[in-house]
Amino acid sequence: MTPVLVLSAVLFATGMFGVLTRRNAITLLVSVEIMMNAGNLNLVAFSRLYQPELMTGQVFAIMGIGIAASEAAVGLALILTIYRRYGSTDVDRVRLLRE
Amino acid sequence: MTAMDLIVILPELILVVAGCLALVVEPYLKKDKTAAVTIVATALVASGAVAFGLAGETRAAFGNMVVLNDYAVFFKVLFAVAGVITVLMSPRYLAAYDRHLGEYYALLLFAIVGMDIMAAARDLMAFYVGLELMAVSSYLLAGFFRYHARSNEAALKYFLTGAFASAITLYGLSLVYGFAGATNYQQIGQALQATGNTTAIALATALVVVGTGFKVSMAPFHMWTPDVYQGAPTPVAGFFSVGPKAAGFSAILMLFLTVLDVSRSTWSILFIVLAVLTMAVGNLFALAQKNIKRMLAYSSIAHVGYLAAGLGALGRADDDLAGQAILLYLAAYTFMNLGAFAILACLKTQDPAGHGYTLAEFAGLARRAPWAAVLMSLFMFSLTGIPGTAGFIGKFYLFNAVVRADLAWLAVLAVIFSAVSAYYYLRVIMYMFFREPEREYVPREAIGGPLAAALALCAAGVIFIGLLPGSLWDAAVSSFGNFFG
Repeated sequence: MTPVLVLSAVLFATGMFGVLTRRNAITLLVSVEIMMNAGNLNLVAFSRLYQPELMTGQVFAIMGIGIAASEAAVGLALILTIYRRYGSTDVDRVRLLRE
Repeated sequence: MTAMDLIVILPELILVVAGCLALVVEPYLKKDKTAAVTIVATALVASGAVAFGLAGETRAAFGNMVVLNDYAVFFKVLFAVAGVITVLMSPRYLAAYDRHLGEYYALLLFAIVGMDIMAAARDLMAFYVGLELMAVSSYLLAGFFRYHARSNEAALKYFLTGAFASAITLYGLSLVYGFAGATNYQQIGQALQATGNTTAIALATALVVVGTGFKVSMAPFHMWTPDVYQGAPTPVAGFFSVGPKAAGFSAILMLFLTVLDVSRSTWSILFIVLAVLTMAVGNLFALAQKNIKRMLAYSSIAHVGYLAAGLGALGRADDDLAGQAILLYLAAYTFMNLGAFAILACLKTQDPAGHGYTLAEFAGLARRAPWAAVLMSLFMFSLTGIPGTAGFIGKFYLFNAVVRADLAWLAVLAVIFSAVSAYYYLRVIMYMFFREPEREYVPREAIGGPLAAALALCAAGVIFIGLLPGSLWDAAVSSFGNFFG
């Protein structure tokens, strides 16, 4: 049990590190997806630990995967509009909105 | 699933059907989108009316995933009202940008369905699905003007921060599930009660506080708010400032009162710290803004600060007074803030190319557009918290609850920050009535139609709550009965 939790914590930290340090919108999206998968992994692991016959956590994880997919679809569409306008996906170049 | 279960989600079913209908009808409409607007507005009114009609009922449905009770009804009616006002605000504004499309209304309805589910959810899964339905629809609404660089940027920023917050929330929820072995709010509450408040539960609590704090833009997780509000279409920005925020608080209240009741001491302190920070950041940054839309964004952060103070008080008190005051405040805030954004939408519609929402452009507005100036003054007075307006009632009940929870210093701080906020709210009124305009303005035709109706609704709400808050307060009090139905 513990190794799985450590793995998910490492995944979460990796994703968090990526979000905080990277400036490319696609890399940011991938980092967020890694963080979400850390949560999904937790859900599956806990489900197996507590109620292997009930599958609550597994269903939750499936929901999480579905939602992450829809979010990626919308996110990529938004990144595409930015790419068409700026010719790059670097979020630091996108800064019209300020004081 | 039985037929009775469907009654519990009837308000949402109406919205989903109407949203799909708006999408189907859209291709058959030429320039005139009245049919789509009518369908959507009717559906929102029907949804609110059905929810209102179900008040007093308590029942759970779909294996205790969602409930129908006065708490859910309060928020469903509130979201329907916010939705109607937003829909009325939108047609002229979207047409001015040549982006008057049916998808806009469908997305708005789907976002409201997500918000309804958040308020009614009593299971982590239902809560998370509702949250994401609201969030994904909101990203698209923020980027709806896809040929405008600012709208693109707002959507990208909203998406990246929103997805980050969702991931943190999901991780926190997965830990909560791990400690309790259940996803139902009631079962988790009982299971965690048995284990006591351990360090691990405190960690999960902190993650959920951060994740949800991002969604309602508490400082230091507020950075995205001004940019998103400035770049998003104005009716959408107005909707964001009230709808998803109220939905966030509806879910926060339930999560922390029932699921994480055991770690009250932890989240209460976290919210008190966040409240102080949020009030300071919101009010002090708002002082420096020359752009009214950005100013309203920072002001919305400040209001979240007052609400967070209420959450802190709720965790320390034995009764639900602070929670009830938060509900009242959210209702009052919906009318006054949507009203202010409706005025902005109105001015922008009159001059899509020229108007930049700057303070200087409000100079002399009282002579050019007396009605807009008078109404904007009403909303600014209310946001400040002048007696006789909804804003005063909201602050009065909320700060009273904070004092009752032995947090008098926090209430004093909140009142001081409210006094600071008077500077930037009343400055708008000063510009409108006492400043000479810097340039000549072409006379514009007055705005009528749906936008005038939206303004009238907001003004009526602000005055009604300000003078006769009794019935609304009763509704807020009765919301805190049986949470599980």
